[in-house]
Amino acid sequence: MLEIRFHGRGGQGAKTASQLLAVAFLEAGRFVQAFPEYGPERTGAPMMAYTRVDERPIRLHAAISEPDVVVVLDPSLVLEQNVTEGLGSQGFLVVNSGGLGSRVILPDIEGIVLAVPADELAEKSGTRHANTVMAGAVAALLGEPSLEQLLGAVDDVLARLPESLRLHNRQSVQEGYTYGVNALRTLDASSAKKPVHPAPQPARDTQAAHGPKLGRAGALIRPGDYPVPLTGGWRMGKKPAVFLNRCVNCLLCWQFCPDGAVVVDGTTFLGFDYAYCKGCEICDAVCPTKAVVMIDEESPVGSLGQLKEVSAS
Amino acid sequence: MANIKEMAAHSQIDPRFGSGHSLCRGCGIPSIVRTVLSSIPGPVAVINATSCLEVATTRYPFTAWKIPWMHVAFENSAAVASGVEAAYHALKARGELSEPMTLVVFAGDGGTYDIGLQALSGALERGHRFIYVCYDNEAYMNTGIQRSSATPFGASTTTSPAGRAAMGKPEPRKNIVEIVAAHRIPYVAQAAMSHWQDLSNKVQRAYHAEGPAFLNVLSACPPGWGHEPRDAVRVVRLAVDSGYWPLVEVIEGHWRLSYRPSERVPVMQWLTLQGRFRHLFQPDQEEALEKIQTIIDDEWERMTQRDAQSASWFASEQARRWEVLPTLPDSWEPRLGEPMWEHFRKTPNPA
Repeated sequence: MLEIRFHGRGGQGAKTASQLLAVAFLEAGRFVQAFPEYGPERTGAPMMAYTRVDERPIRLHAAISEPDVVVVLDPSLVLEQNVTEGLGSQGFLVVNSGGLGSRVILPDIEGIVLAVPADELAEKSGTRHANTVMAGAVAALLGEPSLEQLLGAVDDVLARLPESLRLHNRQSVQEGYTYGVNALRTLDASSAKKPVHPAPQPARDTQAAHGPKLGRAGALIRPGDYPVPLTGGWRMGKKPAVFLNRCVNCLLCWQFCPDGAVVVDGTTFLGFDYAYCKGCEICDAVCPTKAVVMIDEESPVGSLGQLKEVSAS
Repeated sequence: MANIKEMAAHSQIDPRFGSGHSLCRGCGIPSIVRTVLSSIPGPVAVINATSCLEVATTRYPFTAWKIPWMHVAFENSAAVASGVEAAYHALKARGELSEPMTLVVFAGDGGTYDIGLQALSGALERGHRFIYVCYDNEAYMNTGIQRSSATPFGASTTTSPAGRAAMGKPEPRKNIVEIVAAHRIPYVAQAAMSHWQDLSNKVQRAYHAEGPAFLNVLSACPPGWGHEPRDAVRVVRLAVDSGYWPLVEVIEGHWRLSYRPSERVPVMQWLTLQGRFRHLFQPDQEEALEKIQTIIDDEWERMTQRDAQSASWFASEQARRWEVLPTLPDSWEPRLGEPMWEHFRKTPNPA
């Protein structure tokens, strides 16, 4: 049995990618399963989707805990979750390197690790979603299903989309497949199964967020005693920052921030807590003096997202 | 009365609702919850019906709440609040609790307008003292944007889709404020997430009400309404400024508009920002657009008439006591049931 686990964020199409592969495998004459797993989460929250493939009817209906292939649709998830959990030494990991290129952090594992610039390839094909690119790359690495079966599955799974969008998705599947085929060649040539980057050190905050394990369900906990999950990883490439010299301390950003990510000391605005900011841009929208600006995730900032005004003179 | 700075300071002295929930980017609910909770002096306990707020703030084993909080089903939040209020009085009579308590119920429009309506009606009639806050995002957003009786006329949802055969929801929304006001409870109000000072004042009046108080607060929902997360405040503000969402309060049966936009903007401005009304801008939909404007104009007319009728009452001595609003404490106060929690803290956690 082949088991594929997708890690993505709500809205990135992990569920669609899992279905796409399943339908293509079905075309190839296999028995398949595809289903997502998420809690009460929203757009941007980490979630998983699974694809199971076998030559016989599949009786197992549980979530996949020991996958053969792990597909990560968002590079930030590598730091946030243990994506390689249960992945055997024969398995392989495919990570969308997103806008990070070679700076993507890949876990140090025994199996094959491949970074795919899926965001770029998707953009080249005219879609915003990397999921179909990743499905193409995985199929190429596995050697099955064929590109034709995969393209047929696009029409099937995305039947409700307009033809123009399906066309873009067919292109992105093709891009991913071609990338996978080429990558496989390099992997064969070097026969190296090692990642090029050191193992990530989970951020201190991430460790704090997972906190102690609760003893049992229904245990009474003191209000405010239990750690809360961090939501900074939900941001999609932009973060808020502030020019304090322009700030009039109206605290409208504090008032409307859905995530309590605006740091206030007493009645004084200080800046932003990136551990929780989901990047909704409301602070930027309500700021009356344009003190708050949205900048690239990668841009350097001072503590709490404070920026220094560069004088024109 | 509490201004934004006092609320910010209060929320640090006595944190009640924190970060780290999984509500959507640009969600309007947390702002409402924080404004409600940080406007209330003294200990607070929360009853939360099943809703976006409930599922997203208490993902096991995490919680964003820092006060006593209880989750109950969609249909019985007001009934459970009645029981908690009765238990509080019993404990107080026996001398086991001495602190005051403000009981707040949070429920969505589905849990208020539809599923929880009979429990709410019963609790209001029995006169239990609590503040019921309905955060209204105008559909069942938690389960995937199905229409509720709060969904406005013409809005497209997954169960009232716009297409060749239909143009979104064919029925106008239910007026929950009138339904609740018909119970003759001391305080009923309609507020919006964008007008935080108005909302805070209304919460503080509800805090003073000796009996049930009800607030219907317009939230924003980027995925359900189809707008950019950054436009959340703007969309809600336009709902108020167009007169679609009049900010009213009903004090002891007397209606008044607590905010009057200097000039009502055409409702088109509010509609165009939202994907759920996109189909109304097709060439043959002028009739529907006119109908929406008519519904709003009629409603606004009714509200201004009621407002004028009760002007004399609001000038009376009886009305004046509602203008005295509490001030927020500037130092920490003991939380509700603190000694009880101490007991649990000493009990080792079976790891």
